[in-house]
Amino acid sequence: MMSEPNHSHVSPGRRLLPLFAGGLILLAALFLADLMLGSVKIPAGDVVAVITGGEAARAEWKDIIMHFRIPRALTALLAGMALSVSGLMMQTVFRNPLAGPYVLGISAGASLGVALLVLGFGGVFGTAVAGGGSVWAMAVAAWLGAGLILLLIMGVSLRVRDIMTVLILGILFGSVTTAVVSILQYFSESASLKAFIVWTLGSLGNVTGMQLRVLLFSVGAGLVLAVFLLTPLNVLLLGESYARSLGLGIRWVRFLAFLSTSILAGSVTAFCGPIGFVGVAVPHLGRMVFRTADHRILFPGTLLAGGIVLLFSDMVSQLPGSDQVLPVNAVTALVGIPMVIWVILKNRKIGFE
Amino acid sequence: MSRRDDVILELRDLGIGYYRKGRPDFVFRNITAGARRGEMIALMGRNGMGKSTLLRCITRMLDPLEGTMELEGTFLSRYSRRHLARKIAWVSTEPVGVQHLRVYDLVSLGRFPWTGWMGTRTDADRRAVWQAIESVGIMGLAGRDLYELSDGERQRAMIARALAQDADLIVLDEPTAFLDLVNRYEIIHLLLDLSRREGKCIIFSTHDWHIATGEADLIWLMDEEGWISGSPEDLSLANRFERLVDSDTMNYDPRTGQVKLVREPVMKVSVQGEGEAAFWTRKALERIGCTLVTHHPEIIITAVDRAEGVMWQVRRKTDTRQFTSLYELVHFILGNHSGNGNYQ
Repeated sequence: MMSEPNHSHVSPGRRLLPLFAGGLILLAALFLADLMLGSVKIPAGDVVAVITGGEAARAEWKDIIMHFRIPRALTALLAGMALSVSGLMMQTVFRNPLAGPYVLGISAGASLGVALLVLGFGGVFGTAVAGGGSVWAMAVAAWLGAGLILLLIMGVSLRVRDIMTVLILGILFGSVTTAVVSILQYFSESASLKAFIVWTLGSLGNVTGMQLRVLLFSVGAGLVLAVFLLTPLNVLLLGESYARSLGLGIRWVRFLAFLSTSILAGSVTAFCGPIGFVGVAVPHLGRMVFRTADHRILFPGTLLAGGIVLLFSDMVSQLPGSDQVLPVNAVTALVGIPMVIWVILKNRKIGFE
Repeated sequence: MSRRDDVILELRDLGIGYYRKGRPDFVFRNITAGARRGEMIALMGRNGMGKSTLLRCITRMLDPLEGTMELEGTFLSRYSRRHLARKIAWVSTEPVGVQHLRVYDLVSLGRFPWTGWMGTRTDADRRAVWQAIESVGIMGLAGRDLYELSDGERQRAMIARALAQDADLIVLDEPTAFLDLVNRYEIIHLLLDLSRREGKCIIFSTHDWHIATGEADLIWLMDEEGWISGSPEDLSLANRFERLVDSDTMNYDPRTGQVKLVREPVMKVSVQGEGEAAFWTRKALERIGCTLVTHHPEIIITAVDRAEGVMWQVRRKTDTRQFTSLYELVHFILGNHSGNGNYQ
């Protein structure tokens, strides 16, 4: 008969609970702080009053919070979560610590779509888009461009067994699109060029109303799909031959992970532009903080960490106390790159061999 | 008792290889064999004969080019991926290079064929995981990272993962490849124990001559002459091992079952004396290539067992010398021989 083993030394629950609790508190605090800070500083008491349905000391504060700051903070939260979870999935699928949401060429495809819209259809339209802030047109163009590249990659991934080949083809497709975009840039007018450049710098502030709802729905759908992939991704950690011997349909897992990533990263990119480094860096942060390879723990972990990192980046980009706003992409790079460097320097075994 | 009932895997006229430009390119053909529950089978053959290819066919990572494979009386190709994973477990040499993967989590991945995509584990699953960990004797390591383990411990953990899969047939590709001598024997004894105690059928490929011939119930041998399956002794009687090991540098001695490096003959020696001292003296002399004779030796060596240790007396036609260790004795004989270059 088998003695009942003492499970406590392998049960990670006791170690994880404070981490998740602390993460949630930090996330809530940052969300609140993000609502307070901006060109106008609003006291915490008034922010709490507004979000609990009350009135602020000044009427315009309520407008600012309801129409600008809450959508922006929610967008930061959703984008951080979506990019980080896609990065986590792609790093496991490609068995590569430097993979991220954009390895599939999503950002390259999206920028091709936007470049064609803004630069390709002449200066008049480009200026109109830039001036009118037609987020919808940009989003649809980005989606179409990303979708085109994704169809190519998914088609390849169902035929080609070797994941390295898929990775290399993704990079090549991305390079081709980037080349086309640079040609478009070369021949375009300075006004529309600026509109395009501004899009590539990323922005969390343009998503409001209906767009926010679409983003919320897409990110929700992508995350639900990801939940179904957590155990298969754990199995995939063992490598292809073991995964196969355990009865896992590798191509299906790959396909669904690509689909989920394209929904998550694709919709964020469509509305906010390509936001770099979060998707690559945050999964490593999650692995280091939670000290596990189990995706069922890393998934909520990276959700939390992704939200925290992008909310923090958004706060920094608001340059509290000034009227200036930095492009969020610059901030995520400044926050994310030190994290990536840390990962590389610490890389005895960052994840995969 | 019907012996047929415990046959778990049957290979018939199997041809393995790969398709090149749409044409079958055979690595090995005419493999016919059976594997029984409770049996440990060693797959042997020189590099490139197709051992790994055959194991990949049995685990259905590769389709055979011809012939049939039956698992418990049903064609292997009829099994769904998941159903097959409940019947056959696989341990490869591929390293699992993942950080922060705890032994317990690794082993519980073996339950995947039973739990499904959401990975919801019942108490029975958890029991199976602990039982597997206990079976390989690494209870104390369950909470450790895979990376903190020694090579032997890691191999045990990989075997525990296969056990948690609860498959009757476990296929291992060179499970002792990176291990030291003690660990090699420990892993093989673990596998033997699993086949005896839990009735598993274990098939493993190996280059380890002594382990295969000394421990396995059955040897599957792939060589230029073709496929043969039999007990180690059957294969020795059929003179099949010479081919496996004989080369310009190696020799198989069918009388002793030993494999030796080919040596240039050194000289004819006669060893006098009994017991342990004489036995090891003969071994040392054989090792350096001396021919042991009883008539007309060039030198006569006598091992004298004294209270203060063994002493060796070496008599030649011209003189007599004494040594207190075999190392010095061997050194003397080799020096004498090389100084005597014309010796045939």
